[in-house]
Amino acid sequence: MLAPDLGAGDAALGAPQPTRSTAAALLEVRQLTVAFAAGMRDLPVLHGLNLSVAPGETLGMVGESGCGKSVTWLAVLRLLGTTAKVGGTVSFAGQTISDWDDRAMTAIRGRRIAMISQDPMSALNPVHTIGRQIAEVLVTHRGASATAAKAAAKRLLDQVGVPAAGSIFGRYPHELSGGMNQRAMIAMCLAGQPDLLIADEPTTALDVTIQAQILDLLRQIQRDLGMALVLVSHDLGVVAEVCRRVAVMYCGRIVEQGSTDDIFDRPYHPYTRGLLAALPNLDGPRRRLQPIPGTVPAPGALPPGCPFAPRCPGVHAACRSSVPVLRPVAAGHAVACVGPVDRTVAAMPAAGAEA
Amino acid sequence: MTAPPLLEARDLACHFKVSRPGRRRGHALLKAVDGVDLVLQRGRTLGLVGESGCGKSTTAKLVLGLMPRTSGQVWLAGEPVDTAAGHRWRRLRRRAQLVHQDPLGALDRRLTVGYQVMEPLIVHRIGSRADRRAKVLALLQAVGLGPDVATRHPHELSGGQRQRVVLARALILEPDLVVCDEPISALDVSIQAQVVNLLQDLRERLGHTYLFISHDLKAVRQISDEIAVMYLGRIVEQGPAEDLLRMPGHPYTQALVSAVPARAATGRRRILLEGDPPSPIDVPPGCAFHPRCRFAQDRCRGERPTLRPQADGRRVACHFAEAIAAGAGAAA
Repeated sequence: MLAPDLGAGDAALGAPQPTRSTAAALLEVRQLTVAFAAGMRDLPVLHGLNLSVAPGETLGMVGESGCGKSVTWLAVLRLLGTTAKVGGTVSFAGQTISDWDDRAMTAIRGRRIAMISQDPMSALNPVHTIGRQIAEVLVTHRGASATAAKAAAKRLLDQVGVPAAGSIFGRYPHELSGGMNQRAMIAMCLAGQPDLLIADEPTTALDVTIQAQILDLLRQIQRDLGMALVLVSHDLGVVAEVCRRVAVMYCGRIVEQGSTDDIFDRPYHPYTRGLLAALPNLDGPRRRLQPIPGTVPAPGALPPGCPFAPRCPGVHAACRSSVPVLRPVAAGHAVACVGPVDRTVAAMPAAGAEA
Repeated sequence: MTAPPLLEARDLACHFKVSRPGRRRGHALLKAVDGVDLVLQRGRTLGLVGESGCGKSTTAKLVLGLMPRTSGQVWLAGEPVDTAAGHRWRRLRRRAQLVHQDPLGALDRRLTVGYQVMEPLIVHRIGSRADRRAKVLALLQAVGLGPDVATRHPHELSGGQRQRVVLARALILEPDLVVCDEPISALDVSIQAQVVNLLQDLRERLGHTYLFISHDLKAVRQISDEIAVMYLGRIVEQGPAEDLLRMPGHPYTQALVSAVPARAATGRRRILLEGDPPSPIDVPPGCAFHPRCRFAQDRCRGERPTLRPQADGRRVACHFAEAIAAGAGAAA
C-alpha cells in the first residue's frame, strides 16, 4: 500500500462515515484505559484512547513525558505487569487480542508486533552475544534450525547496515556503540518479520549524527518491507521526518491527530500550537520562544473538564465542565477541543507569525 | 588599552591515563580535550556544540578550574585561573558559576530550596542573615518562583522549577561568567522554552556572560552570539551563530547541521556520516575527522589542520575550507 490511509483517522474517531471500514485497520485500539495501583487507590494514566493503525502506514505519537505515549504501546502488548489495570479492547488483524492469555500473546510479541525501546543497552541481554540474541528470535518465531538462524541473523545485520556483520555477530552489547546496538535491536525486530514495528524513542539516547543514520534506516526498511511503523517520540522534528500521520497526546488522551501536514501547517488544538511555538528553529528569523504557561498536571490531580484548560490561552467556561472528545475538523484531521475552530486558531498566533 | 576579554583560554588540554580495554598491562592516553583556544567577551554568549564524548563538559570544567589541566592556561578578566583550591581559586569561584544538566542531581534532597540558594552566601560569608534572606527571595522572584518555594524541598518541585532553583543558586553570587552544561536537555519541550527565555531575560537585565554547552543546535542558535563546534577534543569551527548554521564551513559541521531532524518538505540535503566517531583513545592521525569525511585527501591523513581564519570572520580547521566553501557557493 503506497498511499497513507488517511481515512483511518476517521475510523479512530468512531465518526459516522464508514468510508473505510475498521476491518481495513491492522491495529484497532478502542477505549483503552490504564490505571496503576498507587496505595489505596488507582492512578489513571490513560483515559479511553481510540486509535487505529493501517497496514504499512507510519504513525507518529508525540507528547511530553508522562502523557502516556509509551504506556499505550506497553498496554497494547500487555507488558505492563500486574500493578496496571488495563481496560478496553485491542484488535490486531481482525482478531481481538486484548482477552488473549499470556501464552497466546507470546506468539504476537516479536512475531507480529515488534518493539524497539529507547535504550538498546538495557534492552539487549548483556550476557549473550548479539548474534545469539538475533538467532534466538529466528528459532523461536520462525522455527529455524540453529545453522539457518545463524546465516539469517548475519543477513539481517547486513540489512540494518552493520559493517562486517560477521565480526559483530560474536560480540557482546557492551563492546559496541549505542548506534550499533540500536541497529542490532532493529535487526532483532525484523527477524520476526513483523507487520507492525513500534519504535519507542529509538534515537533519544543517541547522538544527532547517529540519530540521522538510525532514522534513515527505519525509513528505508519501512519502505522496503511495507510494515506499519509507529514512532513514539517527544521530538516533533523526528516525527515530522519519518511519519505521514501524527497523534498528539496530552495527559493520557489524544488531543489532536491528522496528517503530518495538518499537524505542522494547520494545527488546531492550543496544545499542539503551543508545542510548535515553544520550539526553536534552525533557520528563519530568530524569534522569542513562546513557552506554554504552567506545567503538566500530575496524573492523579487532573483538573475537571479539559486537562489543558488551566494552561490554555483560549479557555472558556465550557472547557471546565466536560472533557472534549475528538471530533473531525477536516478529512482525516481530528481535534479534542470544545471551542469553535476559528476561536482556537485565533487564540494563539501561529509559530512563525510573531517575528 | 582595551579591557581583557572576560574569558580567555589558550591551548587547553586534558589527557587521562586509562587502562587499555582487554589488556592487563600498560595504559592508553585518552585525550578528552586536546588544544582548545577560547575567547569570550563580556556580555556575549558562546555556544559550545558537539556530540557526546567530544570534550564539551571537560572544557567547561577546565575553564572553571574544577579539574587539573594537562597543559594550557585560562584567564578570567585577565586574572589567571588556578586549578588548586587556594585563596585565589576561592575568590574566583564567586565570579564564575556552573549550571548542570540534571537539576535533581545538583540539588540536595534533604535541604530546603531557600537554604540551598542561600548556601553560597554562607560559604563566602556575605551579608547578614536578614540580607541573605532578602537576597534569596529577590532572586527566586527573578527566576520566576514565588516566595513560598523557599521552604519546599526539591522533590516537591517540577523539573522546570528545579532548574530555576539551580540557576538562582548559581546567580546569587552575582558571577560574571555562567557556564551552562546542557541546562535544558533533561526538560520537556514546553519547559525548555521557559528556561531558554529566562536565560535570555537574565542576560539582558544582569549582563551575564554565558558559555552555553549543548548538543541541541536549535537551542544553541536561539541563545548564542557565537558557536564553537567540537570534535574529538578540538574545536573544528567557530564563528557567528547565524552564519555558521546557515553556511557551515567544516565538513563535520555540515553533517551535524544537516542531521538535525526536520520535515522532509524543508528540502535540506542530508549528509549522512558513516560509522561512529572514533574513540578519544585512538584519535586518527592528521585530521581526526578524515575517516568519516567525504572530502578527505592524502594531506588530511598526515597533517593536522589548525583553526584558520576565513574571509567571513569564521575560523575553520580544515585544509580545504576555502575549496569546500567555493564548491558550496557554486552548488548554491
